[in-house]
Amino acid sequence: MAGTSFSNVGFAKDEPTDKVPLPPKDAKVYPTACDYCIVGCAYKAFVWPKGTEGGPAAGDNAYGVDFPRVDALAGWWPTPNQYNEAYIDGKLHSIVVIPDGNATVVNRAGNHSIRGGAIAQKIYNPNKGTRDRLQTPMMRVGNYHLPVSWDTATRVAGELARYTVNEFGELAVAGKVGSYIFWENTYAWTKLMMQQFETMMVAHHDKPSWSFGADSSAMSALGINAFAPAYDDYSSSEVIFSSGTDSYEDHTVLWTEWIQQAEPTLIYVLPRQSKGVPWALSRGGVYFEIYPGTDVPLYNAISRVIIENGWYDKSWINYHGVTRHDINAGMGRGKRNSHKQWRTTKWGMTLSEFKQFILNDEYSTLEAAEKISGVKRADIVRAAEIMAKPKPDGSRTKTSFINEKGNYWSNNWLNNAGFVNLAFLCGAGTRLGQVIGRGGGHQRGMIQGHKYLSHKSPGRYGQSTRKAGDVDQWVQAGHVRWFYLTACQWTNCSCAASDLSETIADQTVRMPQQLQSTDADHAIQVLKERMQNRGLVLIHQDVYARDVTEMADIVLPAAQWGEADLTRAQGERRMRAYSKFTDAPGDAKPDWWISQKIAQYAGFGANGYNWKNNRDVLKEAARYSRKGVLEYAPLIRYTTRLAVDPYKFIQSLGSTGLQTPIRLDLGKLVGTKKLHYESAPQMRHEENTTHHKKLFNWFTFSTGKAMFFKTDWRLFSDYFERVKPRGDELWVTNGRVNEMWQSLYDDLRRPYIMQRYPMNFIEMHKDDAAARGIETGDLVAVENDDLLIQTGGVFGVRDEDSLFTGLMKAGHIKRSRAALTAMAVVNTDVKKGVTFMYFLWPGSSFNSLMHNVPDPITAAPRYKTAKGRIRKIGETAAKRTGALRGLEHKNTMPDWA
Amino acid sequence: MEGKKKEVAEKPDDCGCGVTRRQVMVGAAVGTAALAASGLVTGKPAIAGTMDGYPRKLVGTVSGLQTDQPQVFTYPQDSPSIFRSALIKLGIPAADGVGPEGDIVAFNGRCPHQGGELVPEDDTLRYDAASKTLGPCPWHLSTFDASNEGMITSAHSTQNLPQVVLEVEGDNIYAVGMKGLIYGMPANLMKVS
Repeated sequence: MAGTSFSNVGFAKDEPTDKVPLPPKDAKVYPTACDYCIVGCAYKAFVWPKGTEGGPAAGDNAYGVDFPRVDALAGWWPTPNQYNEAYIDGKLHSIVVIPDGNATVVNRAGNHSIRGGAIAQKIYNPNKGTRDRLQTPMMRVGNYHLPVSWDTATRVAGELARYTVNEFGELAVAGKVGSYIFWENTYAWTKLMMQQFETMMVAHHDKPSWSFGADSSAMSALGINAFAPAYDDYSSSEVIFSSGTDSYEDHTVLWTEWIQQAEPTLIYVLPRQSKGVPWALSRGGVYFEIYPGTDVPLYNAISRVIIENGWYDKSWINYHGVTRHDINAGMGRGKRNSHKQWRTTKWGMTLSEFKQFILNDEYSTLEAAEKISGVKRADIVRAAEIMAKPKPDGSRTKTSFINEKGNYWSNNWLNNAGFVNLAFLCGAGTRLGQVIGRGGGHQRGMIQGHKYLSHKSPGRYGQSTRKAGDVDQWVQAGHVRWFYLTACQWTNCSCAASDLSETIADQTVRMPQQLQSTDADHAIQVLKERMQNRGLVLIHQDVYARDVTEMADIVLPAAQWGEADLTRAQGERRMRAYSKFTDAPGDAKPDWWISQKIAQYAGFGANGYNWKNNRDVLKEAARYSRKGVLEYAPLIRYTTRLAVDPYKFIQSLGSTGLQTPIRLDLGKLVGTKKLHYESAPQMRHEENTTHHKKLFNWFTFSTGKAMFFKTDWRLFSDYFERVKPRGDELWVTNGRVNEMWQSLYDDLRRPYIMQRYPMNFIEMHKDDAAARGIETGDLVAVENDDLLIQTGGVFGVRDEDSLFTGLMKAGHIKRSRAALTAMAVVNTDVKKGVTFMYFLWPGSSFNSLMHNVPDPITAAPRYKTAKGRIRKIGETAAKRTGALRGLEHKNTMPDWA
Repeated sequence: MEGKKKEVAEKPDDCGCGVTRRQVMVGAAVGTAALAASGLVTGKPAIAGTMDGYPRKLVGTVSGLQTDQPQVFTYPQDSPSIFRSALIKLGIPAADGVGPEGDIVAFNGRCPHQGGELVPEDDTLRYDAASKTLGPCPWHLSTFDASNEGMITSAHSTQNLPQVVLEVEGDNIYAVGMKGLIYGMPANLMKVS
């Protein structure tokens, strides 16, 4: 695409610096939090005109501390990557973004990850790597993106959206949105798409469907909020069972601050180890190095050992457990057939039923776990003992359970259900140090402006109610005319990515109807003709160009973190201020402003699209937060009553913020530390008092009680047997990487990270590499000529219609092929027979290799279960340097460590 | 070489440009001053003025170094403990390594994440000979590749472990500069008293 590219991305080097300017005493100070992962560490931005500097004495600098900082953990020591410069009101300013050394929650005393620690380099600086920010609206004319005015771009987008709804129906409007882009922005986007355009063909950034009880599906079905725990739960745990995540890698400060320092025994379930694993093993932990997607036989085998030995938490289960009558009666509220809950009546079990199932199931044995999951029998017995065996005095070990996408993005429903079964056997869920939670991904930035219109979805599993619609499949079937892509990648994060990319190209840039002028009337006319010929109009709104931007007809530049006052919550639901402290580049605007312009041109201006500033949006969105885990409406009522600016008020809460759901309790604003606790908060609010009761109490959100699920491997085994590597194929799986996950789009412009990862990598076991003559630094081709793509069958009649065998029989699976290149990293961190890649690297899309056959029960993609053949095709320039050596030794853990 | 040193020496100190090599005489003078001052330190260290440049300091000899047996020295100032550094003969070629095999390197001993001690006062160095890494840091496990400019192998640090620039003259090894900012300092050349 003209004007934007990744050409600045290369084998960069972070040139060392031996000085960072100190902010003068009168520097402006803004509270903010990290923009990246769920942990949301607290930061402060210090901004002052370039040229002046503070002094090293406490009275002479804005940190208010003396230099040098000699003690470890002293805080307030800025590193060179925490310094940047930017033009504000046209004048060059110095900016330091530094962890809040006074923080008493989350990142106490200024702890930070490598990602957030360098977040100052995210700031738009026209003289540095961020210079290629999108800065002006553009339209694609004659194969180039030409700048146009906001009015032209949003008028074309808005009028065509209205035309699409009128001509082709509301489901011809589709879109994807990053659900982390702050409450103000997601609210405006979802209001437009769901309330005005009335489409349900919308998806979150990370999958082709809406988060509709799919992510942590069994937890949702049981009414366990994935973010119920507080971080002190993890530091109060004696044992943590961690499935599909090493928090060292992907919730770094949760791990270093709240787990590592408390020294619990850690049990990991992963196909590839990062540094938490050797640390755990050095302290009596267990590492289950499993094959991708094979969690269920392992969980079932651990459950079996616990059951056989009678180690389960009898009194807790007696108190919380369901009866058969409870299940049949849908907990006294009729058959539970809502989108999250039909699975509870279908697969729910009492303890005695679950015991029967586990003890008689041939896939729930130590032998099956050894064979299918590739783990050691002795480890299974040892893990069961660590987690569940009562102590000599009869007391129980406090065991908590953390999972993430490594758990539920291969075999979504079953893996999550097996995980919950184990947790319940151990009595986890409702007590300090005995909790069930997601480690989490991005921060909680979604306030939904309308209910998800599930009744319009074509997808079903057997006789169940509707499941979420699959936007990618809908596009591939040719049903979409207008697509609004906001703040996320599209093709790169979809299964069979290159196949989808071809489809989008066919419907956009390869259509004969292309613009020849930036004139709005011309554009509307031409693009209407394209739509009439089954083509697609693609609108991409973002901060940088991405893979798919080349194909966009309209490109809309968005403001980002630090460029507008914005709000959202982190992993223990702390609502905090993300202050504006610098200017957006060029004509870039906040996302809510752009969505509003489109709404106005689509003819919906009268539906409340007269927000003058982000304050207006935050206030309006508050009512849509009600009843939810992110409720902040009482805060808006409170600040309105006192005539206080809500942003100023939130800023005054500092790094601690206020934990949602926020309540008004006898005139005082109070937060909610934890959900589902045995000792729920007293209900004595002035307003909106009753609807949170379910969230506060244990399991009452839907089922009301603890329930086990039948975790029958046969629901997945036909797919698994089909996609298992054959011949010289290897598993190719993917996941998060400490240095770049959540931040790669910035890291591509950050030499400190690029010097370590000059391109996407594939990590291989040394034996697999040796067999193919591959060494670290080699350029390799990764190819899959047996790529499976589901082309129909989203509407099942009988259950078995939706399972893989049924889809095959009905002819709904096509075969395709895909290839990519990557840099080999050879070590023993990944299981033999398995390879591992970073999942979202532009131009080296792991997901091209990934089968597109979603979980039929939840519509969640099976992202972790790809395979491929790997061969050397050359050497990277990096191989000739020492830069890659560290990747071979990243998990070093000497005896004394 | 002499000409190059002079050219650098003429630049202002606060250029923030990393490696700053200094003329021998200037460096030696400052080194002596810092040493004298360190004996008088009581209570909290404070910054008093700026050094003229990186001192040239004798930190060891090639013949006195054995592979994987690090030696401790302080640089560019003598106290407080944030200036403790390790001189290591790695036994494999290293980026910016000196000596006949190009395998002698030196690094500051404070983790640039949050200041954990990799070269603690009790001289129990956190150096792993098998992987040639410094770390894991006792606080949060940051680890650095001594053969490759102190680049992280796994870490939270936002810069490489600061490397001490070395020169060999005969058998003598001199520290002559720093690459990277030392933990706790706003600028390496601020004089601590």
